[in-house]
Amino acid sequence: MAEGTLSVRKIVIAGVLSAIAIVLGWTRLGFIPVPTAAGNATIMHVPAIVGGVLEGSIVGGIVGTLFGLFSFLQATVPMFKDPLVAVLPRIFIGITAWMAYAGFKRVNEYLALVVAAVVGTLTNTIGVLTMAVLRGYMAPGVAWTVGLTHGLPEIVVAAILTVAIVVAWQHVETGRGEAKM
Amino acid sequence: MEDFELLRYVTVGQYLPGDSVVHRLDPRTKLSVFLFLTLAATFSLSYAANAILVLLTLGLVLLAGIPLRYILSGLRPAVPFIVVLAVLQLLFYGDAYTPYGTETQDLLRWGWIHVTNGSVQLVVVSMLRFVVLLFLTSLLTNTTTLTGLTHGVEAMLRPFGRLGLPAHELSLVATVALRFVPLLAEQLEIILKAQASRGASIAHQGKLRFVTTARQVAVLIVPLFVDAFRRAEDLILAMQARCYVGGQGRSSYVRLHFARADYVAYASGLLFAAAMLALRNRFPI
Amino acid sequence: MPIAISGPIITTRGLSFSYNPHSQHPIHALRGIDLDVHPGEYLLVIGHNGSGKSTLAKHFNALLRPTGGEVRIKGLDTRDPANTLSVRRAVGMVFQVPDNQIVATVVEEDVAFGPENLGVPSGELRERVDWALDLVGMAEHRHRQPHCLSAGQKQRVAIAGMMAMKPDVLVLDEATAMLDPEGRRDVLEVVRKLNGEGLTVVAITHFMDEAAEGDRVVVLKEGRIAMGDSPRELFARVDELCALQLGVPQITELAYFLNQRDPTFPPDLLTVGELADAVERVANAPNNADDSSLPPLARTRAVPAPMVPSEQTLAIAKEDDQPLVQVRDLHHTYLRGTPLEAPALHGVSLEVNKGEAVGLIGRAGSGKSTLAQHLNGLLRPREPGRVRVGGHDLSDPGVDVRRIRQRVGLVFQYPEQQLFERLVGDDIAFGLKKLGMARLERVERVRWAMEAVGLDFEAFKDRYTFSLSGGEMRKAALAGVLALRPEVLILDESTSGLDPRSRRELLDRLLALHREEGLTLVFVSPSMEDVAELVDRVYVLDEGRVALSGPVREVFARPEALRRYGLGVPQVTGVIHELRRRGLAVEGVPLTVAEGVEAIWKTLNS
Repeated sequence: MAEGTLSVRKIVIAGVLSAIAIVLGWTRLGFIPVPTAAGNATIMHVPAIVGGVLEGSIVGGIVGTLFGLFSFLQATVPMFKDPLVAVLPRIFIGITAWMAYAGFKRVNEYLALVVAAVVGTLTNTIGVLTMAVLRGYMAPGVAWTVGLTHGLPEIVVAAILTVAIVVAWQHVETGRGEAKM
Repeated sequence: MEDFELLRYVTVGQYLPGDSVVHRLDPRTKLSVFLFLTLAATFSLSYAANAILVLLTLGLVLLAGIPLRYILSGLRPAVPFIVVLAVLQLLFYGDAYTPYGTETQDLLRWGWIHVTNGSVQLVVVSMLRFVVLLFLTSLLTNTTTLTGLTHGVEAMLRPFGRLGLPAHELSLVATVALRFVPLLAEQLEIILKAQASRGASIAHQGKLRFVTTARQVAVLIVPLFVDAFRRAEDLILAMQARCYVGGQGRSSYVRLHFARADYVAYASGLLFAAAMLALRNRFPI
Repeated sequence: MPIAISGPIITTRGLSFSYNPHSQHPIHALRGIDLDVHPGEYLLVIGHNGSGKSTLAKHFNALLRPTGGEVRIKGLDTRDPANTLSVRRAVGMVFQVPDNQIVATVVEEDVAFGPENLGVPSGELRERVDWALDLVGMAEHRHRQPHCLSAGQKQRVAIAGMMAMKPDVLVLDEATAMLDPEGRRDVLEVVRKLNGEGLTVVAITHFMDEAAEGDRVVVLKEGRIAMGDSPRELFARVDELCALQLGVPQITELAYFLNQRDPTFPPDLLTVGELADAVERVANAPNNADDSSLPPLARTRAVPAPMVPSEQTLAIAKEDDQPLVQVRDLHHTYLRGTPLEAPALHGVSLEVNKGEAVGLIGRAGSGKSTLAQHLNGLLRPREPGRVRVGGHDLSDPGVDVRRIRQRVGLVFQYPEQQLFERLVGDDIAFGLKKLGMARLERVERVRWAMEAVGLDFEAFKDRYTFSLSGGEMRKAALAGVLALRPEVLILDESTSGLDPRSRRELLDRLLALHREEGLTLVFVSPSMEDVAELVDRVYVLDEGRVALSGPVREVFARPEALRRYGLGVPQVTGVIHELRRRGLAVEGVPLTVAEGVEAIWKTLNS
């Protein structure tokens, strides 16, 4: 059956992953309230990474864009009420994640997932902070601090989650492991 | 005490029923004007331009019958951040920002503190722009249903279908996302409760106290994603069973109609934004 | 070229299907099915989870294509991709999970989705949507958002969405499995009506009482057709069905056992009415009674149900004379103080004594889950309500919630949705780790919990969680709660979606835990038969209030009251009530088939 660039599968998965990103934001489960002007978005970018890894750059790009749009519409601080900060960098999260995944997939599946998560998170963090500085919401020094204090834990969490999610979903693993209980 | 009611935290951006001129405009018009004015606001750097925009958007908000108190109440939790940002910008960003139209003038220097006319402008313009964008967002989302917006987006993208853009497919992504948000929110609440019932401690008070270990996050997030994917697989089958083959050859149940007000609004929005952008460097202050 | 419909509308010849046919572990789901479905037929397909029912259904609208053999819809071969659209136009399908088939955020737009895909011109679109919504009785809800509807309503919207495409066949893939009894009733009514108007219906189900409605029933076992007949003839073959571990409707079971005792009693009965007729007939037959001097049963006004004294099970030892769980005047409102406020409980009081099994029944939305979630501290009581669990008062903000959750285990509906660990053993041990238990003890607890639910410890502890079957995952989730060794186990509709065999197994294990380990049970379930079997006392909730309560026999002695609350009684009990209504004197309130047989037998011989 002929289908366009966006198959039914890609449409639905993109929609569902975007919904997760929105739910994480809407219920505030994806946020750390933070005493600097930087704010939030700790795991809300993970759906974009997962989308890029599982279904390719188009889906990853769409999920990232919808995440960014939602972030913009919902924002109550000046920094995120700026489309160049909230939307623009997020478009690339899923795309860079997919590129990283595709690059490392031949080496090792788990490694590829971890690298994808790292790259996707960096895209988000560096992208947003760069735009924030360029637009004058943050001094460069502050941006560096925020980047390191938020960025590093975010990368770790994103990597762990991405692996856990993809592994759980794809039943990648058949056979047995060794439960530590 | 824990509070599991996630639906409580609904914020700005909900449809407020009404019958104003703005409500009755076609979603495409509102989307387009939103886009135009957002562009104008994003790239306007002068006091004058931003002041004009604030007045304009304020007028539109009042015209639409949106109570200002509603918009402001959504801001309340964010006020500390806004204030902190403003203070930081004012006191410390003197170096980074050259003011619009004139030279940098030091107003105050003391240690790290460096207030210039540039940093003053930065603060004021940031705040004004923030208000403008807040009003614009409210104008869009408070006067249009989300389904209306997706239909509007699809209709606007449809002409690009000839260039290969999958317009309906993209709007369907948005529709699916909107459809699943309440379902996944409910599911998340169930997962929270189920995990809490077996001993996970997930304190959830107002602002969620974010649990700092990835494992604790995984307890909630992994089941959520698994559930979401399961639903996705079902929906894919259902859509295939209903013969969805993409946007080509589809008819449309919802029909959008332009009225005279739409043409007027569209044209004025376009002209205004074009003027603001073209003249952005010509404002006196 | 499609042929004219004079013969069967669906034919399969030697249909075989394997999942992952070229991998190391192919799953042979269908092994040679020859089946014809005739226009206007109401065909039921039953069988266990894993028998291939759903796989078969998906071949009817080309969602799956045979790996061997062929399937033809109106003469069109489904293996030819050119036929796919025509096939899917002719055969509509409604799936099990109501929410996951609704695409749009407004009811009428979702119903329009199918015809839009077919390119139906807009004037006709409106007509079709209106017609379809009327057909299923949802026209007044056309502007609502789907997530605000009940499950039964959503399923009807899904049916409307399919019917708007004007199919020749409607396939229902376990479409009632996730509905409450009222929702099921509504959906079946719609389906019956559609079939009456000429729509061919193929329904996959594991509810035996639904199967009794069709023209023909086919039983699948391990990918093959094991039996196929009209319902009456099929269900009369009780032994064969039991060998396949499939249930039969309680009515048929009753008739079967009565027939064993008295060959003049017809064994192939399907409805309450038929059974009552038969009992009347046999009771009044001249040479039935041993004592022919006895006059035939007098036809008086309906004999009222005698009050049967409650059974000894009530005299459970009350330790410290205090019930283990005590709820007094409990109120609860969701999202209090927001525009979405929704009151759920209005002054509920209940008690559960140590070692008891208590049932909680009520229609969807009556407040059962809300009540259950107060019992383990997930929700806290507001003044004036009080909740006491094992001596802890949940109104006290300083109460040790962790301890309460260890003592009171709550298992949700579809508990497998809470699994998150990679390995089964780890997930089951999760709660134990949170309690700070030492590893050796944890392993022992996990072992005990797994054996208690029927998952072999060695075989499953190292398995990858998400590679388990649905039933296995459910057992693992249950084990995760049991591992905490709670004193009270609350099961909130935890048998949903299980086929009869798995439900039977779960109930047996729960009974074992209850009887052997003294586990106190609070059992929320929409199945009256299960409740009757498992519990001593019942609370009936209606609109957030306790409408009825008492020993289970007392409560089920009042079918009219229960019906008012959207509930029924076990089929067996229903038969007895019907007999009484017709003036036959029957003693007691039987809750199981065995009791029913005894009661009727007594009446027949008096």
